[in-house]
Amino acid sequence: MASAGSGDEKAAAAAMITLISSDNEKFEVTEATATLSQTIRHMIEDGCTDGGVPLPNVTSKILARVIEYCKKHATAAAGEEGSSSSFSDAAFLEVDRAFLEELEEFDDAFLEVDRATLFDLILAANYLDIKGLLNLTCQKVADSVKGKTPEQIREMYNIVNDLTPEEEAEIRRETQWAFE
Amino acid sequence: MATATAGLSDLPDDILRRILYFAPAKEAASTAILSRRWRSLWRTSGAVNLDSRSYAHFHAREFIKKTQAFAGDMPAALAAAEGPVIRKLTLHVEQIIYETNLAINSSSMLTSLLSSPAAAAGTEELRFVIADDDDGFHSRRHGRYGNMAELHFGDLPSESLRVLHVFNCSTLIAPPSPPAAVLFLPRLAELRLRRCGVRLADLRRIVEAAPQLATLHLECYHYTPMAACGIVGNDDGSEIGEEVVPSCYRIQCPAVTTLVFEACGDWPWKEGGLELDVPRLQYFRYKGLIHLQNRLSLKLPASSSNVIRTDLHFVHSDYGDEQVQVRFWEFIQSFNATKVMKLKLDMDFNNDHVAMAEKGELFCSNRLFYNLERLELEVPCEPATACKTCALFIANLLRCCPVLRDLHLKLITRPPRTNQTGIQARSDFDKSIDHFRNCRKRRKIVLNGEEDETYDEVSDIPGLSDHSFDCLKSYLRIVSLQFWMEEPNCFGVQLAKFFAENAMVLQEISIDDGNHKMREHVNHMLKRWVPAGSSKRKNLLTTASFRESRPRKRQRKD
Repeated sequence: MASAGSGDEKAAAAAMITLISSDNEKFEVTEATATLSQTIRHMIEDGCTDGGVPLPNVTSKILARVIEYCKKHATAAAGEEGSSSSFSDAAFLEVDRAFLEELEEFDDAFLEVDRATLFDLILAANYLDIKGLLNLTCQKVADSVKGKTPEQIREMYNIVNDLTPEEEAEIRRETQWAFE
Repeated sequence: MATATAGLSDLPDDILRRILYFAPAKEAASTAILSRRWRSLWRTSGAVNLDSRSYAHFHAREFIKKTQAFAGDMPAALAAAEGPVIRKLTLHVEQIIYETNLAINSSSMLTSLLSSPAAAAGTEELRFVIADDDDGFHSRRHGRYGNMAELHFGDLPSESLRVLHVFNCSTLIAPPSPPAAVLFLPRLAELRLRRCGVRLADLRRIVEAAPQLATLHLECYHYTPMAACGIVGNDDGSEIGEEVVPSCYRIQCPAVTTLVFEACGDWPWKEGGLELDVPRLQYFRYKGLIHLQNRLSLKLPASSSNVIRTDLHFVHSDYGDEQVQVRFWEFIQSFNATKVMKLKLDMDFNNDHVAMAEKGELFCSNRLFYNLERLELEVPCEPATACKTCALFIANLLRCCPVLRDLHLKLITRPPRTNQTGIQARSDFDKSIDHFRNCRKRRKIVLNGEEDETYDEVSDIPGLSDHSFDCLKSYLRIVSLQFWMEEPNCFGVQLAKFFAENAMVLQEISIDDGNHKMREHVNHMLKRWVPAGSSKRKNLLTTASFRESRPRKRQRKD
């Protein structure tokens, strides 16, 4: 019995990219997964991915999560199970509801991380230019301020108020409706 | 080098703006006093998302007041920003059933928001959502559909608008009459109307004023605004009710590639049919009553269509006269160029459906789905008599799909009703355990004896097994079956046997029977069904895969 995975590796070997995290861990991913990142896509287009792509701003812990996201969403982009390349058209994916629901569930579960990890994911998504992940994570932070007062937000995110009382009063006056 | 863990303050301004782009306006605006750095961030975020839920602790009227205050303050509040101020404007109002004025107020509020210079400058995305319970239950229970909100297209930032979503707005008023309207919405690419009321004449004006429109969603749509039903008076539309409506409206949609049409049973009771001319259609989704689908027709180019995917979801209907049956097949046939089709019949089969399935034979033989590579079929398969109809459907469809590669079949069975006999039905879990046990017993015998003697004989399927199908000879490679296995000789197993035996180039067959232990059992049987000596035998057995049934969907948190 052949060991699991060897067949897959062989088939996809041509399109594998190595990503190297800031702590020097190597991740093998398919090109389809990697190119969800516009940054990496450009590197591939410029032909500078031989020997791996160093990502000095991303730790292995975060990179593993980012890859997990990209894998899931790349599958979506290639059609379910990628059974035929002719199905990669955007229209095909656009609204396969069951799959979108599954993707949404994945995203929900994916976002169940502590705040520090969430910020690291945002920075990584920004650096790697993965629009879907950036929007997803930013939305999550935006949701966290819903129903919170400025004082609560300050406390939640350790923001030091450096406005003078006069300045603060002025802002409150300008946008009174937001503070009642 | 490991970087220190980031906090919110470590994010660059651009990302903080991005976060505020998604946040509700009240909270987002209040971040101006967090610190000096935050002072101007929201104003430059490009979005204003007014949301009544930010005022949940107040009475809903309070939200209207605050938002009107905001509309008044907005120019000043946003004055310091540079460039196009608001790219995205959202107005989300939680509907309160007895609060009829709320909807009216929210539409006038939207008008005043849109009239402010900050918005008029260049809003690209506009979402006007009056949230309701999902299926409009309350409004229907109160004998009416929708609310009294209005949206005048004349008020929209029409030059810059790219995305427009309107949910639960009972009256949409079209842009000024043509020819001025021709370039009224020059950039509009996405229009999504959900539970909105608009006369077909107005819908035509809107769509035809948007030459770039690529995505059109009409969901739970009702065509007659409330004003026209005589339920409420309308300031400027007193003559609406009098107008004679032509029986069929034809709308040109030259750029539309994605069309979603969900009638959800509330097709207009006054207005007639709708014909959409969609030469560039790529994706189409339909959901509605089976007998109403004949009110909608799509005009596609006869040859070389771009249609890639078609999702048709027909829901239960009591009507079943012959004309409906014929129209059903004609409707399906009009997508004969599609590459992928998903067909869901969400109903209990009865005699009418048998007749309908039989009709298919007539139609499918003379018009083929010559591009169809993937077919996803969800059909009811209960009670047992429905399996005959189901087989007929499958046979008729297979016959007209000569190049089908990929077949996904889901047999819908419904759990027994608990209250019918007074006896509590066993849970699915118990059932599956029982099945598993039965199955184990059988396997034990199998292991000790000769396979051929001890296996239950799985019968053929009349209507299917006695026909030959082109796609089975040289195209069908992947078959996926999803069913609830009642017994080893149930319809699903019969189907598995049929495809294993008859699909000559089959590479993969996967079975999701809601009880993955059973797959070993079926796997064993599959080996027998593949004809001995067939070249695919070896190939299939090494690649045969059984997907675990998907985990049950998690309940959404909110």
